[in-house]
Amino acid sequence: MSPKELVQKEVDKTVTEMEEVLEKKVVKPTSSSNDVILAKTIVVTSGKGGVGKTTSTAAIGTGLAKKGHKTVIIDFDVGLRNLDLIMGCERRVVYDFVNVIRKESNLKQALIKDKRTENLYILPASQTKDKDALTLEGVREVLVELGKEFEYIICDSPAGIEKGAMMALYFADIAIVVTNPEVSSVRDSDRILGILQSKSQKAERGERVIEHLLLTRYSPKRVADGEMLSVEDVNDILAIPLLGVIPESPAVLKASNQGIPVILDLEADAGRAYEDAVARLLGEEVEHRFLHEEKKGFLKRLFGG
Amino acid sequence: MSEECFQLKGSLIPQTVLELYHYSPDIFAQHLAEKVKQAPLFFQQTPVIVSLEKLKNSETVIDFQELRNLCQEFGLIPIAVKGGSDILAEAAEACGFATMPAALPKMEKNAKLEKSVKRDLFPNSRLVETNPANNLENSLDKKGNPQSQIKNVSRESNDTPHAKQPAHLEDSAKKSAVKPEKVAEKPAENESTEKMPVVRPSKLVTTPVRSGQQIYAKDSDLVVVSQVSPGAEVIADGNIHIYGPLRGRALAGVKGDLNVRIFCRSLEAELVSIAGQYMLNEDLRNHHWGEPVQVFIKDGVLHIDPL
Repeated sequence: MSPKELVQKEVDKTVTEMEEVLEKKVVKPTSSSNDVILAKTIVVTSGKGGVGKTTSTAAIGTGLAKKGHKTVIIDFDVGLRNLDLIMGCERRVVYDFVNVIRKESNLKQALIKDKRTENLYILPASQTKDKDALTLEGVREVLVELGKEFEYIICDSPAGIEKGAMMALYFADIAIVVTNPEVSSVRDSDRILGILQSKSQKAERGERVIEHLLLTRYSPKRVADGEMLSVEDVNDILAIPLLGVIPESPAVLKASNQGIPVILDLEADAGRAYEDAVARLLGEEVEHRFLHEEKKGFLKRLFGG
Repeated sequence: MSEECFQLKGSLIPQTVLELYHYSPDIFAQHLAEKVKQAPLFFQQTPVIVSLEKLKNSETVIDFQELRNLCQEFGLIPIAVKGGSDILAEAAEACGFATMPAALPKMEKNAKLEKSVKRDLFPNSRLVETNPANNLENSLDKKGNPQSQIKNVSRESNDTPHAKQPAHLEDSAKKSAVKPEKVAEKPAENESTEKMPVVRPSKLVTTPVRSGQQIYAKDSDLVVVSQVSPGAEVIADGNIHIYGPLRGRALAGVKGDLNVRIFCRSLEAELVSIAGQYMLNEDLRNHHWGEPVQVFIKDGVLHIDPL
């Protein structure tokens, strides 16, 4: 008999004993809703689109894996998948998240092992279905199964506050809210924070999701000129702990077109900023770099940098 | 996060009230038929609340089942019964009507309250059903609506002059305390329901109130020890205290209490409202914008003073 069957037999035996003692019927607990996701579930969300969620998911997932933590990143943007492109594994996608939920394939067949980084796996989204294919129970089952093998599960949320985004944030323990220092992005992030603290599973249980702010596309020069919101302005409105400030960088575009997460670009300031962010996520105290304009030397200005 | 089947919301809906002065099935049917002729389109399955507050004789026996049948014949759907004696209310409940306590007399927008009017709250508004004429003469005459209704009553009535009211009704409320209704530009037959006041401890919120969130402190004050983001709404029947910047909307005294206030550390609001009188962002900017303020109503006008 398999361990599962053995356990079930024991449970049934105990239940019958209890029923005799109590002289009433005992309601047997259903397995799925009580299953706990053993891994740390992180959702990378924002409300607004195009702020850098997928870029950040790729970078942070890679960063965690590089530090030795077995990590899986899941693309929740059904129908508009792009995590596989950013990771450079689009040619190896056979089965996807929806296939796994519908039991058309098992998890092992759908997971893609990253070629560059040890410990990193990707679960791509479906391109042909739409978000109605996602069900809460289906997502829960997949996350529980992943939790048995992985230390960190990162969910790349789609933009918006509709079903796809809700599915991605529902099971989260930790939320990384990606925000551009720009008024509409800040307002949308505020909205998603409200939703996180009211509609997530943790909120339903009376607990809080741990919130982090990731400020992306930051330009110290424009802040100094008064064109862009500063870190203080954003903090005034959102009031959540700052995970990191990622400077605006041409390296990001280059990295996505090449299919390499920007954190692996050792020269890019954005890459280094993501490394700092990963360190802070793991509990280290790292000073924030890239907050102030870098004074460029003559040669640097001549040759770019 | 399973999809919710429904949501219970508080709302103010304009509602037609059928004020019953006296009742006998034949006369009722006859008058109703006449009204139908005057305004046939009105009688298209219109929901009505049957008010027993103006019943001349509180000893009237009403067969509520019969009343309902008559109404329905003429296209009216009675959904609830308002006011009336306990006996009547019980009879109505037995026939499946919802029951509501009687309302206190209405006040017109910006009416000046006389000094004798205090904010006492009736413990049980049904039992102290006053003679409407007495009450209004003491407090709010000179204004159109309430008084004229009484005049109608006395003209229509065949006998009972005001003085002959039963003794127990006279005893009621020497201080004719008036609980002001929600000040709004709604037509006369609309009334908001007054529930029996219950004192509850203040609602305390310590986390930021985020955009899109709505916090409602029912029958009490609301204290927010954090910011209120743009797009958020904080609502209370009592006062609202915000120990942080108010950037969203704050609505205090939503059940009509004109004596509540809104306090905040920094006025950056989209809208502030007390008992329905509101001020928008554009006007607020001229009143101590960005400073700690208190908002209140004085002489029927919204005031914003620095703290």
